[in-house]
Amino acid sequence: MSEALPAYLALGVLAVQALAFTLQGGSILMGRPLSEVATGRLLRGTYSLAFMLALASSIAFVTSGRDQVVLNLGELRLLDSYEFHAVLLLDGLALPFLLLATLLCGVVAIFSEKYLHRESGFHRFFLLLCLFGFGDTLTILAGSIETLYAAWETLGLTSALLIGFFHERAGPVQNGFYAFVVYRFSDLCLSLATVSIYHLAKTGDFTSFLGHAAWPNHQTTLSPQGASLVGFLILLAAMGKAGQLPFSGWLRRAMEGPTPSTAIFYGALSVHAGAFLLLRCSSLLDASSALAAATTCIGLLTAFWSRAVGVTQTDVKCGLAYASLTQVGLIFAEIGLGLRIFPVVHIVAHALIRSIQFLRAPSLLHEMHELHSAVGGRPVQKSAYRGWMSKARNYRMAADLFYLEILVERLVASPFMAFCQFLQKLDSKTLDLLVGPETDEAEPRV
Amino acid sequence: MFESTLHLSLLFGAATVCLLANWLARREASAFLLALLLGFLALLTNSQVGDGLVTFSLRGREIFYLDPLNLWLLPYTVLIHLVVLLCAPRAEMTPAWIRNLLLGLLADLMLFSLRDPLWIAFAWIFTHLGLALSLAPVFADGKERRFRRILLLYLGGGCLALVGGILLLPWRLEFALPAITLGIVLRKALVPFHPWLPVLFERAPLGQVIAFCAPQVGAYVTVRLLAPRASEALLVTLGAFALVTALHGACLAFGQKSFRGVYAGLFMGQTSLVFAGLQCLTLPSLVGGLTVWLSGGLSLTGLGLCVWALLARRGKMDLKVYHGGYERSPVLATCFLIFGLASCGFPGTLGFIAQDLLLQGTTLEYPTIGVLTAVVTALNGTTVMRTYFLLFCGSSRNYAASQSLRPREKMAMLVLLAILLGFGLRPASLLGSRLEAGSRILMSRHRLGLP
Repeated sequence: MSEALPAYLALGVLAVQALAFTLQGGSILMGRPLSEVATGRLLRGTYSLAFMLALASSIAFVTSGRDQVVLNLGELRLLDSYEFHAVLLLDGLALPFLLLATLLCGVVAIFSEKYLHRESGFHRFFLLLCLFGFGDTLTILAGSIETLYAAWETLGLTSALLIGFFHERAGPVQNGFYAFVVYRFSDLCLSLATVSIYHLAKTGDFTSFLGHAAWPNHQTTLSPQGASLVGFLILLAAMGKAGQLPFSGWLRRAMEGPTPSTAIFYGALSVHAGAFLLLRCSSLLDASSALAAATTCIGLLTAFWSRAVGVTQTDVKCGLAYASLTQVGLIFAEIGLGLRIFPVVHIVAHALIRSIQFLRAPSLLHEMHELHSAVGGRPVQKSAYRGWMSKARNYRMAADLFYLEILVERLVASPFMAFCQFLQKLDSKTLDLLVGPETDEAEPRV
Repeated sequence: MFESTLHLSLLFGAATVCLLANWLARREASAFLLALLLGFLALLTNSQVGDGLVTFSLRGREIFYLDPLNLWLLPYTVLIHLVVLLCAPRAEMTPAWIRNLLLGLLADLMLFSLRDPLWIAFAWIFTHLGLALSLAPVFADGKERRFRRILLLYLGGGCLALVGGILLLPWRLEFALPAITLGIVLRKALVPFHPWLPVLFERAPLGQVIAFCAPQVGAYVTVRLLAPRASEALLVTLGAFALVTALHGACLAFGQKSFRGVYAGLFMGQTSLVFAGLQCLTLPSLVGGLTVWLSGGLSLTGLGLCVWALLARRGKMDLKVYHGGYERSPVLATCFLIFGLASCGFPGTLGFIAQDLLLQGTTLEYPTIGVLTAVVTALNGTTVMRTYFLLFCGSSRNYAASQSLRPREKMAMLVLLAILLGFGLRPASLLGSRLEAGSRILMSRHRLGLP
């Protein structure tokens, strides 16, 4: 028990968030949502307790002198060929992320209580925040690929629903759907990676297929080919979630969500989930130099791309989003270059600074407007568009995201929709051929 | 003895109430179905059927039979009919409607209690009766001649093929099994024999359609008649049809402009995955297929109830514009999203475990099937989200009718949700029974010397 104490405390973090989610969700489903005050108290209590438990878990882990703690939550085994293993893993990678996640969720919950006061979606926001907090904590603590996959899907769903939070307007909803499609692709890749891991290693436990030694000294037990295949799928999943090229289009759209959720998702936790996944599976990158090189290239390319696109943004949130993406691209490059501790420090520092910048953005604008009024106009600033960006054509290209969205639309979305509609027409033609064309005046039933 | 008596009493009770259906109102019919459900649950929890138990035979010929496969299917079917009854709009609630629903239930219960091919053929035809009677008024005014021709062609053809195949079974197995397969393919609406299903979902009363399609009698006949006898090649062919159907259904649903059409596509896509599991003939894939049968059936029933409730409140809707109205019906919107995602294997629901089993089981033998299954699931999840956004988001319109759910509708949906979430968190008992059923399919093949 004492050896597993840090993991039990970390399990407590999950449990309090699950309880808060159940209470809120239950009250909404029963048609009697909690009052704003009660919701605020519940969330404050939940995240205070969660942070204290995370802190206690960290202290217990450090004092135990162990380099990793595994906690089995249960397994579902059908013969030798199928098992679902729910397991938590606490190590040097999980702990800083656990502290970061509980701290930021708590801060954002307190901030949002005032920020969303009397907003029609108040309860919906906090319900989704709780679900996101639970999913993110489970992603961090997951000790097996199937546990991580379950949590991974939750992150995508909450993210899409929060982008479409102001759903009385079509814009946020369309953007939420766009993000969901990319997340779904990311989920698909992770799901295929999960299946591949089971077939190659016969187990999904990280301590088995990623190596028995603790992170970051682990060495994968998969063959080089197996490691490359699984690593490639995991890289694709990470790229989707982290908005790396060519999946970067959704990030600007994600800024339609309320500021607190933008801060926690795209400034702090969700946007770094891809980097976390790569760090967790870093032994796969160690086993495949091609994969590591690809990770570095993608990261650097995204960093340059988002830097160029970022300076053309006229909206403070979009500017911050692309600044985030630049940093995440650099973090990918660091991971690809074989660094392990440095990216963790980079992620924690970046998440803290960027989330505060996002949370401050609305009031900062207000203060700047006041300042401009006080000094009688905007101070003259040096143009950000220097060198290559000063040419109008290049600027236009950067403002158009280097035609990324147009390419996705023309090469993927439109052909696929045309194919779906072709299938519909084909069915209709088949029926016409068999039973004759539709001449009935009858309308389809309501 | 206990099992036989209870099983026969429940079937006899169902038949008696069908005869009295014309005098029943919703309340009495619901009470009866609830009692029936509790009876089958008692049978499920207390019976020891082991290797199978003949509960009724006539002149040495076995008629009713219980084993781990159908022990779960009986309460599952009653539950589907009960929630359909609870959620039916008051405008559709006529004695004839209740009678047709109960007739359909009786036919499904009988079919799920049978193992003998001849009796199965009889019950198979009987399962169409409820739908046929409920469509009779639709056809009566002569406006839906094309619709009638479509159903006659596909469902009538399916009946002929299946009955013909079963009659040939003792004499010419090489003709009988393909004919039975054709019957199943027609009834399950597998590509290329699928175009009737979207038309049925578009034009028939939705409650009857859910009750007709959700129990998935085609899958039962596959397990009883095909899986123990068919060659691997025939099963692989059926699986290939099913996979193409799953992809086709997913694409159809994604590109749909019609609300009912999306539901039809999702139904077609997700339920045909059952066959992808059944054809691989490995234990995990069989268990996966059998679990997707139950999880998909329940979650798609829930989704169908949400669709029905929404249609009853808002009338005909297309998916070209955003309809809004989340604030006026948050519970309905939440249920729609959860049922939709549960049908595509969202974590925490039974669908997640079922899809995971199916994915791992099929990839074991045929990696392509595993990849396609994952693609279909991902695509259907995207469709559910798109439909949710279109139906409940955007600027709110002024609908005349109240948008909130009635208590009986809410209760039905919450019960389904509780079952999906409950088994999602503790699936061991359900999977244990699916494992037994899967093992018995493999054992019966081994007994006949089939791979």
